[in-house]
This record gives sequence, C-alpha cells and structure tokens, in this order.
Amino acid sequence: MPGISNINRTNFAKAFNRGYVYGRASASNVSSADAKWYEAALIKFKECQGETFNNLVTAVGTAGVAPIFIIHNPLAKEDKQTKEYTAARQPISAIITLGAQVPIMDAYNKALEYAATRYHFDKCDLSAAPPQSYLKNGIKHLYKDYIYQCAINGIEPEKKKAKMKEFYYQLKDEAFYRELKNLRESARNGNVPEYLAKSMTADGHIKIEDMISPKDLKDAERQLLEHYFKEVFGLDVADLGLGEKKKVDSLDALKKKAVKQAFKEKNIDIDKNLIKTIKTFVNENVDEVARMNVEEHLRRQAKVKVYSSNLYRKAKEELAEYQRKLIVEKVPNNEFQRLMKIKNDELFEGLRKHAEQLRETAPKSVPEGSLILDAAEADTLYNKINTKLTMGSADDKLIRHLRTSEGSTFDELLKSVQIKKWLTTRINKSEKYLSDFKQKSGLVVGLAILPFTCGLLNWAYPRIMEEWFPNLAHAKSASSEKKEAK
Amino acid sequence: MNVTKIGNRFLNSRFMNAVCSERAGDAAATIALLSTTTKDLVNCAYYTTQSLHNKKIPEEKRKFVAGIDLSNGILNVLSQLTIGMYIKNKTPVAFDYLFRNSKMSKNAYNAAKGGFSLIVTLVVAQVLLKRILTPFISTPMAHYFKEYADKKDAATKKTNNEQDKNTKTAKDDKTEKTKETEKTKQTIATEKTETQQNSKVSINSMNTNLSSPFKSFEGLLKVK
Repeated sequence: MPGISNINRTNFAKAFNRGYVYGRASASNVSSADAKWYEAALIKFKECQGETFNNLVTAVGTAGVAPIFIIHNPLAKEDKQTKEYTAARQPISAIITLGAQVPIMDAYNKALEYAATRYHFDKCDLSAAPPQSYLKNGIKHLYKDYIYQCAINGIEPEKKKAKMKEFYYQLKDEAFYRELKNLRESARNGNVPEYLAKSMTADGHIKIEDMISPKDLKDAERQLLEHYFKEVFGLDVADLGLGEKKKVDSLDALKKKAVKQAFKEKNIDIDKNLIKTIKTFVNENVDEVARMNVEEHLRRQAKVKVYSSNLYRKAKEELAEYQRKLIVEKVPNNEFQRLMKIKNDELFEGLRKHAEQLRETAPKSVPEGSLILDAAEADTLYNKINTKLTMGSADDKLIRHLRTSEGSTFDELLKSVQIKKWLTTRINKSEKYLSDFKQKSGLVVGLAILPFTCGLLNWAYPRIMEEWFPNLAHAKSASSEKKEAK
Repeated sequence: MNVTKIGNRFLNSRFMNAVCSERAGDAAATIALLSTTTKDLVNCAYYTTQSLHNKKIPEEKRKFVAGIDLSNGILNVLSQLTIGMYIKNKTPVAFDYLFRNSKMSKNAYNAAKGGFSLIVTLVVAQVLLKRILTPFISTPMAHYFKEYADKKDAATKKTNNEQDKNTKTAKDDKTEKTKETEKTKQTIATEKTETQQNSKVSINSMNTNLSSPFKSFEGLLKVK
C-alpha cells in the first residue's frame, strides 16, 4: 500500500488567496458583455433558477400546451366534447397548483430558512450566512436608500436585480464578519457560546473533526487518487490530456467512458476490481489526509498572520509617530489630512514591496515548527496585501484598519484562524444539510397538501364546467333531449 | 421552551441521522428524481380514485377522466425515469458541442451552461414529456382503461343479475318447498285429525261392542 506521508500538498497554497468576500464576488461577477443575445438569455435563465421558475414553466406547460394535445389527438376515440371536457381540467389544475401549492411551499421554505438562521442548531446553523429570504427587509432598505441617494445626486441607478444581489452579498458578508468577530472576542475573553464550546478541547483549540468540510474530503480524495496512480503505475493523471471537464478528481470520475478510454491508451485497464481496490485505499486514508491537510493549512495561515500582524503593527506605529510629528508641527487641518493620506498610501505601498521582496527570497521549504515563511506562505502574504490595494474598498486601504488585535503569538493566532475555519466549515455543512432537509421534507409536505389540492380540484372542476361550459358537461343528455324533441 | 435544544434533539436523533446528511448533495439529482417520481405516483393514485368517485362529474365521462389521470401518472413516471434522466445527463455535452466556438469568459460560459441545462431539462421534462407526449399517448390509453372498466362493470352487473336470478329462483323454490312442506304438514295434520277422529269413532263403536257381553252376563247372573 503506497504511503501517504509524502503526498504533494502544495496545491493548498492556491486556496489561501481566496478570501470569503472576494472569492464570491468574482464568481458572481459574470460579465455577459462579450456574449451574443442567446448566450445572454441563457445566463439570465440561470439567474432565474428556483422553485418559482420551475412552477411557472410547469404551469405554462399544463395550462397552455397539454389541452391542445388532448383535444386534437387523432389516436383517441372519444367524441370531441368529452375530450374538450377532459382537457379543460388541465388549466384549472395549473391555477390551483400555482395558487395553493406554491405559496404553501414558499412559506414552508422561508420558515426553514428563518429557523436555520435564528437558532444555532448543531446540524444547521446559518446565523453567519443568512439566506436571501431572511435578509429581504435589509436588502429592501438598502435599495431604497440607494435610490434616494441616486435621486439626490442626479445619478442613473443601476439595474435593480444586480443591485439587490450586491446588497445581499454585502449584508451576508457583514453577518459573517460580525459573527466571526464576536466568536473571536468571546474566545479571547473565555466565555464562548454553547454551540462553539461543544467543538472546543480543554486547551481552547477546536476539534479537528469539526473543521473538516465536505470540500476538504473531496480534495483529499483527489490527492489520494493522484498519489495512487503515481505510486502504483508511475502515471501522472495530468498527462492523460482529459481537460477540465473530465478530470480524475473523484472515484465517480473513474467510471466515465472517456476517462477509462484515456487510461486504456496508457495500458491501464480500469476494471471493477481495480476500482474496488482504489476505493478501499481511498476510504481508509481520506479522513487522515483531510485532517493533515486542514492542520497544515491552518498552521500555515497562522504563520502568515504572525508575520503580517507584526508587519502591520510596525506600520501602525510608524503612522502614529508621523501623526504625532504633524501635531507637534501644528500643521493646519486640511494639510494634515492630505499629508496623512500620502503617508498612509506610502506605508501601504511599502508593505506591498516588502511582501514582494520576501516572496522572491523565501526558501522553498523550512524546518517544521519554524516561523520563517516559505515560498508559498510568502506568496499568500503578498496576495493578501495586494488584494486590499487592488480590489479593496477605500476603508481596506487604511493602515489603521489593518487587524492586529487578534493576538501576536503563534498559539493565539492559530486559535483565531481555527475559529474562522470552524465557522466556514459549519456554514458549508449547514447549507448542504438544509438543502437536503428541504428536498426531503418538501416531498412530505407536498404529499400532505395533496389531499387539499386534489379535493379542491375535484370540487371546482365539475362545478366550473357546469357553470361556464354546460354544453360540454351535458353534451350527451342535451343531444338525447334534442332527439326526443324531434 | 428552548427551540435550539428541542431542534437539536430532533435533528441529532437516530432517525434524522439516517435520513438527512450534509453529504447527500452528491446524490442530489437522484433524490430529486425519486421525489418527483414518488409525487407523480401518489398524485396518480389519488387523482384517479377521486375522479372515479366524484359524483359531480357526469357518469358517462367519469371513467375517461379517471383513465386520463391513471395513464398520465404511469407515463410521467416512466418517461421521467428514462428519457428525462438521459436528457439531463446529455445537456452539458450538447452545450459543449453547440457553443464550442463561443468567445464568452469562463464564468459566463459556466453560467450559460447552467441556464441551458436548466431550460432544456425543464422544457423537455415539464412541457414536451409531461404535457405533449404524455397526453398524446394517455388519451388513447385512457380510452382502453375506460373500456376495460366498462367491461368489468358489465361483467359485474351480469354476475350480479345472475346471482339475483339464482337467488330469486332459490327463493321461489324455497317458497314452494315451504308451501309444500306446509301442505304436507297440513295433510299430515288433517290425516292425523281424521285418524284420531276415526279412531274415536271406532273406539266408540268398540265401546258399544264391549258393553253387550256384560249385558249378557248380567242376564246370566240374574237367572241364578
């Protein structure tokens, strides 16, 4: 069995640079400027994704399309009026579904999202990542303020949907950083809330199993697969030439035809026995690899934070020193503001240059336990500072806003990064759990409403037909009466 | 009432641990399909039963309406599990082929791919399969279900009629038999009575006959 201690884990360096806000912002920033009209329409459909859209399409199909194919069906032997009578049931069914089932399911899903956000359940806690329905009022208020500001300043407001989405992300981030800040402070003060205390060990660190997200397990699975093929067959899976869409990144990928074909070209037959062997190997080691990856990731983050917080502290002291100098020289206020801004930008640029130099001179690897940054960690530090300069808001570029209060020792900062990792894992798991719970309990609720909607349809259908289409409802008796009259 | 504690007790229970998990997302598509199929099956059973017993629908149309509901349900389930699944798996491949020369950015490409999959799957499953193909095939299917139901009803009626007839004949026979029995009883009773009467008469006559020897003895006794 190939050993796992020498697995290549340098890919994790790339993961460091995706902050919570910016990562999501870049993913949502889909520019359709260079897309054709039909491509833009498809992007719009993706944005409309949801239960309401599904129900609307279903209703259009039920009410508008199905009746045509019931009435004008050459294969059916019933008389035309019977077919018309039956076909009329479809639009009535669609209206009842839209009018009854949709609001009930909507209200049920909103209730679930509210409960998941408001109460800190162990399995589902979205207090740090509230869903859109929970933030609805906040988004509305922000948008109203935005429209008011645009009106005052004579600016053309941006498109409503895009702006509302932006406000949703803004509020979601604020909730995340607020919860993170509260948890970090409570950990420093020693009075952590119960839901965090459940995951803490006696020495104030967080249990590793509560910091392993489903994504970490998937990454571990991918690494183990790459390691297996390298050790047993001497093959680098990147050389298979499969491209982005058919990567060998999971056990399921091995079952795909294209992947099996690519392996066959390298004289490796992916049969059932081989898949079973690989599966056993992966299942035995995935938890341990995921744990090692997460521990190393956090240790590296804490090392970077130790270095960065020292760097920031020095910059803050230098800025404070400069400020004292300006006060002593009794510089006028507007000149004071201008000079402080120049000094701030200068210091920030200095931080970036320092990080760039460090990145160029950092060693590839350092002894274990050393606080010297290696090449990957120096790269992370550089990206952290550079991102604030290039993508951050005006507030992010202020020296005084750089965080230094989380601690200065390795142990303190390790606990601080552990809390963030615990929170993001908790959110990740909760979102997946809520999605699964909604789907399964939604089925039960849908079936429970069924007697109501079915009863309503069976009550309304014949009465509507009698009231509005009596000729269809009593076609046979009408025709027989006519015959008798003759 | 601590909602968090109660919620935790429910969500951490053995039942909920077995049913729901954060890792189920890997099988989300399968779960979605199973839930749609289950809904369609239950819908089918419910609507068919309700239509069959809905007295407000004219009787001559009731069986056809129920037949449509039944065939819709069966066809929806079959088509979702076969054609629906196939279309769902092939839309990303189709998109990659159709838009192979597209100049969109990576994010826009992925978003458009998602939108394409969504609209094709929805239109194929909800419009083409459920609202065109299914009603097209279910309308004649419903006719056969209706005919089957009519035949079954006719057979049941016939059996009931025969049974009624048999029951009637049996009743008549019974009545006759009862009458006969009564008659026989009466006859027996009458004969008995007659016999009794006759026997009375004979006894009487016997008595007369019996008295005469005593009279002769009396005579004999007196002479001495």
